Amino acid sequence: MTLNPYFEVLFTAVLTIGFIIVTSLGLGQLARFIARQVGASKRHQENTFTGYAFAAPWIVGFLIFVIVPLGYSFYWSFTDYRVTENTPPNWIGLDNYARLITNDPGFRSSIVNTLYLTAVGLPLMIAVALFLAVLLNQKTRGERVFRMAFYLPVILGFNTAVLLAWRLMLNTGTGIINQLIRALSTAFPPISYLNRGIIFVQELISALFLGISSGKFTLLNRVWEAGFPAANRVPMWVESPLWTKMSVVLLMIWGCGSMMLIFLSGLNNIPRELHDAADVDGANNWQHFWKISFPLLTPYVFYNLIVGLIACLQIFEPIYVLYRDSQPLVPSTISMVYYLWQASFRNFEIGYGSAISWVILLIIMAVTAIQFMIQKRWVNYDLY
Amino acid sequence: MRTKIFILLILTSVLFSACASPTPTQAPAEATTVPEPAAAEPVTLKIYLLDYTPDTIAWLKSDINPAFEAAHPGVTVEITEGSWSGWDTTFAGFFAAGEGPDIINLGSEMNTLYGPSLADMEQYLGAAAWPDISNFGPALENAKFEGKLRGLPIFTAPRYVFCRTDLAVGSLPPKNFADWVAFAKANTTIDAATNSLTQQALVPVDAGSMADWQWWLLVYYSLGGQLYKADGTPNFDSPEALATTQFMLDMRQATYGPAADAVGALPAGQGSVIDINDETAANNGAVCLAHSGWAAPAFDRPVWENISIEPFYGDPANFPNSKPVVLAFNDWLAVADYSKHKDLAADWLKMAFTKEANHKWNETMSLIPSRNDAQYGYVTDSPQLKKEAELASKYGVGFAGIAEAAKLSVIMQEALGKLITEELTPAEVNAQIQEQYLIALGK
Amino acid sequence: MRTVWHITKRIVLYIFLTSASIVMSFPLFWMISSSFKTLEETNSPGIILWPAHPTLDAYIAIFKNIDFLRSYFNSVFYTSLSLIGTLASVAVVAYAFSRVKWPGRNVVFFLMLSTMMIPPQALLVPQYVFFNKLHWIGSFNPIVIPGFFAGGAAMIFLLRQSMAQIPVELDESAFMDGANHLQVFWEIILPLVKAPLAIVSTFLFVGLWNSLLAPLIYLQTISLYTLPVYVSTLYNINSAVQPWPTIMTAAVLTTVPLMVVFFIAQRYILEGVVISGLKG
Repeated sequence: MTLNPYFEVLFTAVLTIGFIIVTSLGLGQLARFIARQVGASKRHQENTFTGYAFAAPWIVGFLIFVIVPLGYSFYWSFTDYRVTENTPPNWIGLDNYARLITNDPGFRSSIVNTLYLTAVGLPLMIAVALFLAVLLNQKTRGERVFRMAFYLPVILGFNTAVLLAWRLMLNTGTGIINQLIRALSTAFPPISYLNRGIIFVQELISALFLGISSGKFTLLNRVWEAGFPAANRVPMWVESPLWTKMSVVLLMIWGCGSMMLIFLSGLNNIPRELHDAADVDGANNWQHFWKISFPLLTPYVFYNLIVGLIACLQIFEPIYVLYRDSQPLVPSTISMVYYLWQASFRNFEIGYGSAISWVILLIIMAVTAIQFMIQKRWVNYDLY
Repeated sequence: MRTKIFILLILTSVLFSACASPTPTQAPAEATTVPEPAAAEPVTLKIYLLDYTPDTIAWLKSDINPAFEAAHPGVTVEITEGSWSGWDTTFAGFFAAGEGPDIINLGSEMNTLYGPSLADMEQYLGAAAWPDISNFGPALENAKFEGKLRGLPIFTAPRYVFCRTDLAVGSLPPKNFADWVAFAKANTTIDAATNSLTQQALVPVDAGSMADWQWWLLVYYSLGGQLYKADGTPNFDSPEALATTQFMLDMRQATYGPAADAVGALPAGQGSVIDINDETAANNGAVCLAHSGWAAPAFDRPVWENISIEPFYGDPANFPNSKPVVLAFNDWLAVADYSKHKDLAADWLKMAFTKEANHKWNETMSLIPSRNDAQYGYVTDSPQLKKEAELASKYGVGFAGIAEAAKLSVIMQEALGKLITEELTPAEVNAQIQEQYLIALGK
Repeated sequence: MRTVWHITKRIVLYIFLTSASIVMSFPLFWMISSSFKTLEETNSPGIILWPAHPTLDAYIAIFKNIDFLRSYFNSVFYTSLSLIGTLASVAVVAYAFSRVKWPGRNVVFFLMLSTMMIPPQALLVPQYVFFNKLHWIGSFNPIVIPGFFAGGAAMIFLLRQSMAQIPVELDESAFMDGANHLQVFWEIILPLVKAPLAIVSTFLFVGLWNSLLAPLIYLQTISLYTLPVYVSTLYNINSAVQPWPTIMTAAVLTTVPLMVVFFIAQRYILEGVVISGLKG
């Protein structure tokens, strides 16, 4: 292509659209043909044609851009491919998988960490997002500005500037968050006890999980021996392996703007008539929420749950951004995908990394399937 | 409505790109172009850079590339300005696809990582082919794999111990481990109200844990420690290794106290930790800094009158083999083995690494040239750079030749992390590193 | 009823919202404040919340920077193109999953969901090799074209959930009037999912605009770089002094279009879809 790159991609795009239309119609015809052979009704055949034709863009894209690379990845997972060696991959069968499942404490602890982050972070994210959405749904002045502020973290993403700002905020001594905690603790003694209590409990739980992932509980003993924290203790956020996971959770909650947006639109979707009728019956805010809003929000909760679950199980960015310069703290918070990235792009063992990604995929599939199976109990679609 | 806006946007972008000057896009267009009807097949030499400033690129494009293209008609040089974020994924792509830039900018310890996939350049750049090679300093070792040259080092970025002579209590610099621990105790202040440090005696690479693996290696080398035994197995069970790990623990506890105290680190901020705040005249908190020059204040700051630059002296009291060490990170340009133009690559390298060129390249980045004879001008004009260059040539030890460097870093960081939290004793830490590293190497 | 209780509740509400907003927007504030500082101020020790003498130097300089301006244009170009293609195909595919009954629909739906579960890092290297074979490296193709194939399973999922809530009766009455699926899609369903479409557009736009890794690997020349990639080249890991004002200015300017898009999209998202189709 001798054209300049802008024309080149526009040209390719037009070709692609043509390609998609052709394959869609083709796929639809094929599906209808099969349906006719099987003896389906005319209506059914038409639906089959439409269904496949409309879904074809995704299906074709899946075949080209997912299946082919997945095929490579699958093949590599059975080899010892190291991209930096000048040798072609050697077939080693199930060795990678065997080592991964039975002989890799690093991977195991990454699973523990990921499960912790998901079990703690996801409910918090959904709860905070829901809470913020409900708050913003009240008519307040400047609500557009507030909405923007809460969505800002998503817009900013996790770049170096954001990282710097977070480092400032999370510093143990002078960071804003701890200064707030300190100020509140000195002003109200009960809060001081609450603060120290929470710190103690958090450190115990964290040490417990670290012990589970490493098999040794020395840290747990030490935390217990140290006893109830002194009066000047504050959370250590990014400076202690006991707090690394909480700081990641904090970052996760900070970025819950997308979920909040979905809840907001869901809340808006609820017909006013329902709320008005409840007002006539004398319902208070609590009942408004739990009897009307929440049940009608369940499809959105489900969406956020599934997408959030998958995102949490795949968590990588917040950990990388917070801890890439503090290597000693990484093992305490390493997630499955971080472990995958480390194997593939630091050790350059693409073969082993591919095996890791398949195992991760299976784990996520299992967890998601369970979610789907129990959804029938609590999710109600309006009129479907 | 929105669709209309987007269509309008696309149309305008098409118009803009049609009007936009085609010059910036000509280089890539030519690279992917069907060969023009010329006598020779046009060839593009692709170079992927990570260590540069806008001035570096401007100079390369105005001086080096035109000269090279004049000497090699039909060859175009294409420089890609990459960034250190995402380099690993990018490089993985190149080598997996077996296609990509001919010359790649690598980091110091990557010679063992990419070694097998890099071209043996001895026949082009070795002493027999290019006598100039003898002018390169110790940094040249970083550019070798299995004894063969694979490229050329650009600069040397060693790590020194910078100390504030006006703040330090006690004699400077501490010359053995016991002195360092005493120094740490005497020069560290903890604020009871916030339970964090307000002054830290020594800030090594990682201020919080004070147990970064690169720092550990620096201390180890200063004791005369060797990373591998004669048979190639790791040497973490040596007495030097034990002393190093113990030193890490002692220094950390002399600074932060026992782990249970949960003392917080210095306040975060921008700018160097050993500098002084212009407005408040308050110190940034560190008395000594063991890091690269770029973590130290800018050279024109007045605080330099009170900063000494020293190597790390090891522990001659207990280890007679101790020597002062300055751990040097030497980034370099390597030639990929998949390159079809190794000879052209060599020629370009020779042009970009003459005495004047190496000097100019580093001048644009304020770093120390890898060639000894290029260390003039701005290097000797600045007292700090002059001292740094001297120390580097006397005591420089390259950060290279580490097998499975990435895995070792993970292994060491994990174990050293447990040292800080007192989960493992120094002996246990070293045993764990030794065991895991053996497995990693055995693969 | 303006009781004291009500007023207190409102005040608490505002206090909470304001303080939460401050925490959420602090990083942006830091970026803006840094962009107004001089080079010395950003590299000087200590924390300066707001410069004593804010200066527009960094902004003036960056608007003269051809590479920056071109990256801006590249970002706009590639994001818009990819957005149109992705939005169109996502809507079409979501329709198939929600409004048409066809054999194998559930299977394909779960297949689609499972693509969300593949860690993207796993596909990086194989996709690079694949695109290399197509000779697409060094062009916009790898980051634009895959979107046209309804890339983004989460978006398909979202639209499908929203479309699923529309009563079937609407379709059926249209079919009885002799419409075909295409007309139902274009004239009935699409207008009813304006809000979800606005959300999807916003999410896609933000994702595309901020995307760093894929453009970094595939674009390869500075004349093609998008904004995030260009900004990443401004950091110099071996430099004594990082050009923070320049970096922060570029970062702030990168954020501006996103905020604009979000502001506009808010209205559409919250005008909402009222399910009153049944009432006619």
